[in-house]
Amino acid sequence: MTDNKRISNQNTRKVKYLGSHWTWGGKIWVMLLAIIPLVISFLLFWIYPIAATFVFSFSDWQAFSNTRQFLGVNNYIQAFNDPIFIRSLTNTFSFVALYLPLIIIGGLGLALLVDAAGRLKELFRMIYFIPVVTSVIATAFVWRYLYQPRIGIINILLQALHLPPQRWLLDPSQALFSVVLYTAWQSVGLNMVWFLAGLTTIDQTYYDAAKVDGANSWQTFRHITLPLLMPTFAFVTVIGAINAFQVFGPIYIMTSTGISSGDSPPGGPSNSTMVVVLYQWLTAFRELNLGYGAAMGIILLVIILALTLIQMRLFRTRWE
Amino acid sequence: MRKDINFRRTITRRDFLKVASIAAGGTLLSACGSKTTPAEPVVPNTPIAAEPNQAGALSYKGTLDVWDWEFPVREELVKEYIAQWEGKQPDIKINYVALPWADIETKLLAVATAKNGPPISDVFYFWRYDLQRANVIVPFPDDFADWDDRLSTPFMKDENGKIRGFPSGWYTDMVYYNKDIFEQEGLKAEDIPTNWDDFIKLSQQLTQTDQNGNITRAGCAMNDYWQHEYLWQGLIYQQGGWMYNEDATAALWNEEPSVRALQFIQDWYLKHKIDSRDLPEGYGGFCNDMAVMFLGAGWNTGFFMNDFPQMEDRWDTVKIPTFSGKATPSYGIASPEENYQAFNYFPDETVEASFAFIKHLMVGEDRANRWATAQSCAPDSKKVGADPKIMSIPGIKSQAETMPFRVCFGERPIEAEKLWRTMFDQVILEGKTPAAALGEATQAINQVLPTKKRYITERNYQPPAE
Repeated sequence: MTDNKRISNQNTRKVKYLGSHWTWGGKIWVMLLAIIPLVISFLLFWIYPIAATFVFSFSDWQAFSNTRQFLGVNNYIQAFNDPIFIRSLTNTFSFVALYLPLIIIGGLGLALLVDAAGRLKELFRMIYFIPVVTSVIATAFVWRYLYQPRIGIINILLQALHLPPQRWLLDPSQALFSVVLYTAWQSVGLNMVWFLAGLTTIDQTYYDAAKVDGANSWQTFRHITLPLLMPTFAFVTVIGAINAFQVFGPIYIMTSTGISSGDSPPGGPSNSTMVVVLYQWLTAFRELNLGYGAAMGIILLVIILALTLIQMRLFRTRWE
Repeated sequence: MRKDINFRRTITRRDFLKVASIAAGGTLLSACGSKTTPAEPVVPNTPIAAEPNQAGALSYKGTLDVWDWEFPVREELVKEYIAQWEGKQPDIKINYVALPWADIETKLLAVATAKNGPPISDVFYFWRYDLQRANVIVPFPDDFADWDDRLSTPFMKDENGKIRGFPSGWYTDMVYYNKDIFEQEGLKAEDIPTNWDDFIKLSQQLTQTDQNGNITRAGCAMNDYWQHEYLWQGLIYQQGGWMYNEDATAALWNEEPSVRALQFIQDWYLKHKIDSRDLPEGYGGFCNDMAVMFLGAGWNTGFFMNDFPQMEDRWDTVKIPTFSGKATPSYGIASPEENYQAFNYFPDETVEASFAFIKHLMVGEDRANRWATAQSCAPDSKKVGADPKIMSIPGIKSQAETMPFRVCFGERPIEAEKLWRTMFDQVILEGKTPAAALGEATQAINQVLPTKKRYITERNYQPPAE
């Protein structure tokens, strides 16, 4: 018997085995009963909102108005002629480009350090994970004061090191990076955990073999650790990019002006931190222009979907 | 076996996708087909608000839900008045709910426009116009109050002359000053000039810098988005200008009064250097002795007294200066602290009871006085505003004495907010010329302003004789 035939026979047996159990009169109803609530909730809370958003994006729907008119693709045309939306798109891509290397390199670096920390491993892992489980509102607010040009501790430290103080969130050329730095600090602990998990999946025998072959630490890292962490890189990159494309909270908190009036318009200075989700929120929920806001959401959805597919394809090629 | 084959065919991935697509398509179609219900013509009720102390005058019996947002001093006052009400109207209970500030706007607008909200709610002036456009709030009855005594009356009228708002008070901008530093500098409140030119000179004298020229103590701080917005608008009115054309279809921000007002704000930071954006925002600098004076609206009082209790007895206020040094054409803008509204999707007797309760909360000299004192704002009453008791309260007197010379522009087009924010950043942080920044903002707002009816009331302002 050839190998192909043997495999074919095995498959046939599997099908028969499944077939004998999964009959219409048997356990199928249990299965259907089990999945129907999930399917309904999926349709209701995932598919319907996306479909509704898609439909609304072709209308002039103003929130709390009883009427809406079909506009065709006007909202999409308006978006690509809206300088603030274009700025928000550019800022979003800049945010992703600055954020991803920080969380990937930072996460991997921390994971390697923590992994080598011996008995203190769990302590360090906990310390670096604390920002992940702390409220974004609280930590972003604290960072806003760390960045304060006159009384913020970051500038005080810079001056102590004889370095020039910066304006951070008040400088249009630094504000986005300042928010990226905070966001990376806030999320790098989670990436560290993913990389730590990835490191534990690498079989020790590879390292033992490398040692026997006389490989040094860099060669071991370059030729064993990095290639075998490729699935983790893929995961961290895709999830990190999706999160970065949807960044909202840190920018809202850190760029809303006023001590008492934290709800003054965020995204400044001069729209330098205006990202797509923030602009979408401003348009849809502050200006109540839901139709236009929905169009922005769909544009972002398409961008994230396309880039995620590209990333997955690239990484699949690498690790296969 | 046959069943097996059928089953396997039924659950192939392709078939599953087919079913899923049909379901999604159906959902999509149902969304497409959802009715765009035209606004139902709702005839506003104009019930006669009964005197709350006339037991039995109201036909409604039951519980009235009243929504508000969290603000401890107001909640305390309302609860006190509810206790009085329930003593006089035992058949009408009040269910008072204070929602978080972050939630109430969306919740209220959503439920009210679905005609499923409470019969009464406190409504902030930013959102009142959306409720008015959605035709869900009832105009105030003609006999509800002494409209001639109300400072808000000209600014609260709709296109039919009906009163649509009953503010619990007014916030205006004024000059807060640090009494301790003034004493150290040998200054008194009377030394604060009433015109901008001299005010800037005094602020320059009080400003301190370090060896690098950085401001360490501002002569007069504002450094807050809201104050930039208030001052810019106020300065337009101080020059006798307007922000919008007569039918509110176009902004006049690129005209001379507006450009001059923005130039004034840019000079404040960049030319006169009496304030710095690098200092702590808003009253943060003032309360940390990093500013001698602070330009702010009255609502700051409550916040900084809460955040910086050490400021107790260390501050007082004077009226905001004007270009002319006089009250006319205007001291600038005033923003109403909005009020309780009754909703029209209830039976007439519910609306009647709602207005009776709102009247119980708001109407009368005692009420105007209490609301103003609790919220640190000017009362919405000519009589009460001139009361020596009110005029002796720091933070309220400077607002109250300028109130007759204040303009309320009515609706604040929310689409303008991001444009103003950008405009202030551009001129203060990047040194862009005010004319250029205003040119861009005007062009942008004029594209959206005519897209819906706006309730701009600035031109109802009539300054009294000085």
